[in-house]
Amino acid sequence: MIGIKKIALILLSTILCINSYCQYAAVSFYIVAHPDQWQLFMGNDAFNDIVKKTGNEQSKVMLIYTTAGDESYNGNTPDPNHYLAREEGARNSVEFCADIHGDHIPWVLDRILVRGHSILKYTYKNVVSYLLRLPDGCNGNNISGQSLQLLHDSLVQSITTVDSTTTYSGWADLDSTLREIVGNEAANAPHLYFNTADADTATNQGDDPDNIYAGKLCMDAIAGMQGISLKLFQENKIANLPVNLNDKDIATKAALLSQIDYVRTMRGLPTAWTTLNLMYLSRNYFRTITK
Amino acid sequence: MRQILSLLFLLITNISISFAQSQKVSYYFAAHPDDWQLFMGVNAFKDIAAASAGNSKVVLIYTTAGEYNCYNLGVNTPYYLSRQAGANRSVQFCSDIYSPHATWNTSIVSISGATNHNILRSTYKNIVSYYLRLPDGCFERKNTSISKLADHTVRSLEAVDSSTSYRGYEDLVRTVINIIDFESNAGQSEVWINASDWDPLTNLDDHPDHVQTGLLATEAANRIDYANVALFEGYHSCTEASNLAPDEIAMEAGLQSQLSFGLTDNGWESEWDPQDSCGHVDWATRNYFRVYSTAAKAKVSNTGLAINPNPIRNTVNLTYKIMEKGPVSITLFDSYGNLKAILVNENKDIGIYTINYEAGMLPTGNYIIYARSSGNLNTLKFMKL
Repeated sequence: MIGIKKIALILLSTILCINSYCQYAAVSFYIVAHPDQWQLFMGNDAFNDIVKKTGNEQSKVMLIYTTAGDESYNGNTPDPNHYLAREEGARNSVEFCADIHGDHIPWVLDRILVRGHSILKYTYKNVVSYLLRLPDGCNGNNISGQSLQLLHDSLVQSITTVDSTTTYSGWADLDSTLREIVGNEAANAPHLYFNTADADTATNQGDDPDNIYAGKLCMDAIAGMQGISLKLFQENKIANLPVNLNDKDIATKAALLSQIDYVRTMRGLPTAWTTLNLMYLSRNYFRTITK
Repeated sequence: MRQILSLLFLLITNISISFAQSQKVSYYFAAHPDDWQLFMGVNAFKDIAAASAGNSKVVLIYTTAGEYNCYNLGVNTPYYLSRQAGANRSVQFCSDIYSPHATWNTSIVSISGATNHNILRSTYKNIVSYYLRLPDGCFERKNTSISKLADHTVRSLEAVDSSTSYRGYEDLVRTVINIIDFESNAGQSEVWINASDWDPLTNLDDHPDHVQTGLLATEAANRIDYANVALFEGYHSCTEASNLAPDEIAMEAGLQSQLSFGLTDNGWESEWDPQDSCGHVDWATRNYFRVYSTAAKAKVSNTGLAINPNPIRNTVNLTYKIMEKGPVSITLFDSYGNLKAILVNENKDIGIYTINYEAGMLPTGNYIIYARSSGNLNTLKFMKL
């Protein structure tokens, strides 16, 4: 009996969803700079979205990572082991949430062309991840000489991914690319939700410029869109704000960080289970805008 | 002699004994592979952190395989391996926060009880895991369970992977004692034993495997006489108030996250259930325990049970003290775990009691008396000449 119901659902979803151009009832976008950002600052929303949407064929979650998160603080060439470990940690976070419903399945790995740019795309159930792999701005130090901030401020004319797969010729090129990704994945879904760092530095003081400029990129990409809900998250500063999550929500964010850290340490990276990150786990601050 | 042979075996099989100089050894007795994370997680996390820095050691003793073959689902062999993988992930996650990633070493070791037992032993830095893989008794107390071995409903109990079989409860107790003796260098270290609380007055309606594993750990602690014992609440804790700080919740949740990942990664259902009103996530946000006895206090508490004379030839006088009105059970076993006599099995008022037992018909040998009353388990060894 269960088998017939499951087959019917798969057939229905296949009819409705061909590749990414399916008609979803709702799509939730998380546009972040680093592979651990949605877990630390938007973890409860993302967890709930992934759990609900993987239990519902009509919805999906989009995770768009703008930088590789290579943290090349030593100024050397970005170490693939470093950013690949962070990416794997992010995938494990997704799996942890998505496998609460349904069976464990293999990931689908694609490289797709968007406006001539080759972009890595991972799909796990109803969770789709785009990895733009732009250079990590290293918290404003811009050690590699390229960053989202420098591109936005026209201090560099182009930015090349850390794996040298593509180059964006200016902020407008990057903005148009993200706009096209959003348009393709939204596919006329009636309910669109966007989650990103609050780009207003008066509200979100002290955040990593990568996060701020990922937020600005998101705002530019959705400019002109109507009927959307937007959550703008405060990030680094929340460590100094009062604890405002209940025990279960803290546990959920900790569970996500645990997945990130397991891979980091296994691959020889420093632990992310730090005092500062632990403070983020018990706090969640954002503002909501409906357009 | 058997213990010495086992230790020699361990040396021959190239098992690391680099922990011999450890200052503290913390044992966590878990009936199932997720018990220490869910119910003792904060303590275990801190102990693993310290052990990972190299100054102490943690020993995890999993009594059952946790195969959860409770409802005629068939033999789910991969399930217990998935839970074991999850438990190992929990260890590695926690340990790698505090020192660099290392490799696991796994081997089969021979530990003696009444007979020799092949037991899976894994080490990760200073964290040692023993997987006894006895059958999961399920909440319904299946016949193939530690509880049924302890109450002598069954005479022996075989590991789910057929690696060994325990001939009586005493065989199991002695095996555990020998593990403790070996890992803590026969009492040269400060020893803490952490296990489920077996007292229904403080740990209501817990899983029988948890309770019996708690009894097993306490019994071993009482006999070795150099251990401190902490007893933890289990299922019931979810009905109590959350009592953990945010960082402590993170510890338990982080451990539980890895356990769940071990399950789902191998195709089994997740244990992460925040929507449930009394589920795993609730347990991961609470941690209730009591210090049952310290090494010094254990000796004092044992004086509540006294025997005269010892060694004995014929009649023996047994004195015991009841601190709280309630059911009392006093039983006599030989050293092979065979029940020889039920000396007391009734409700008793507070007081000091003496019974005379005619022991003349007992064969020559060593015997053990177990006295269970609400909140207490005392054991006493004597010799029959």
